[in-house]
Amino acid sequence: MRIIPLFLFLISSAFFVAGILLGEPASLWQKAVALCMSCIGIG
Amino acid sequence: MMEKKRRVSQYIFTLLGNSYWFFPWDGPIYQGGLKKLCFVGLNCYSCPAAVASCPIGALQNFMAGLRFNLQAGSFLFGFYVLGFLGMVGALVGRLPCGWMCPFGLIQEWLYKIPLPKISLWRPLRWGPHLMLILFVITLPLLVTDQVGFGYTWFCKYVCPAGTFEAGLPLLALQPELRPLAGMLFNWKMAVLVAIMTWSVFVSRPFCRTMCPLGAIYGLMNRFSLMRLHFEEDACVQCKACYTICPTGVSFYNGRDDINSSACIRCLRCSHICPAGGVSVEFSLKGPSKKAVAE
Repeated sequence: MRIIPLFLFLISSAFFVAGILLGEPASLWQKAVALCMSCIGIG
Repeated sequence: MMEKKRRVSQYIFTLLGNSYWFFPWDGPIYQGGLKKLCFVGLNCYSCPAAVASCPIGALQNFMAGLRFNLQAGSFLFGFYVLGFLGMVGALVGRLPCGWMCPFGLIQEWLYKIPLPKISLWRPLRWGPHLMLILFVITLPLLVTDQVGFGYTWFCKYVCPAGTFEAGLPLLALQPELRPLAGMLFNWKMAVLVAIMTWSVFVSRPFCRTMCPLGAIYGLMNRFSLMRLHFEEDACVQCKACYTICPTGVSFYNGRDDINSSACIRCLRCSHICPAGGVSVEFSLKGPSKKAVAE
């Protein structure tokens, strides 16, 4: 039985869910839809 | 046949990640709810057609905003992005690099140009790890303005995907932006041209020397559910696997592990091997006791 991939997947899932509960997708959306010109080298 | 499937997968994911075609009428970029999701490959979220977020751009933004957010009592650490990348990596390792990444596809197109090919200097393989640690995590976290916000260093100074997929199309679509393109844009264009020229002569140079997303997935190649298995006894030392490998992984002679972090899991080696010495495993079962004893 390979435990490491299972452990990695479970801990990553926990991180993913924790991020959702902390409201990170909404924060990500705000960054992603506000066009950051300097981030792509303009301005 | 496998190569054809891989190519189709690359096209499908490139189109899926960039499936917003109303940008000439509706505004510069897509602003819908799908941008809460991360894309599996490197695909700039400022690209007019992009419908999901680039995980590396997202991770940098969380790092850059961490200090300010903590001061404001907001605990946004980037768990969402790290968790997403960890889940993908734990399942398939670096497979998205070989099968799903739009920028990988562009480099493969360029490598098809019939000009002399050269191999990559091996120490440059450390580049992606350096980019990840320095440009994606450390600098955005530590170098901040007076308010406490950091900068997205990798996007701003390095990422050629951003210049190609976002910078150039936005300048083409919005003439009023052109006067704003100064020295920084010239620098980014120079990086893009250098990478694209390099891609004609070297297979996937950006993935092998700079891509921080590949570094994250690559770290999990050895531990992922999907693994490659090399049957040493079957090997006839024909080097076909090494010759066809787009990232120069040399496992036939023991120089690299077959699940090395450099492997993008294109699976060409498993199909080219005349002795059937390379197989793909997707299982939680470890090696059998008999195999271990042997």
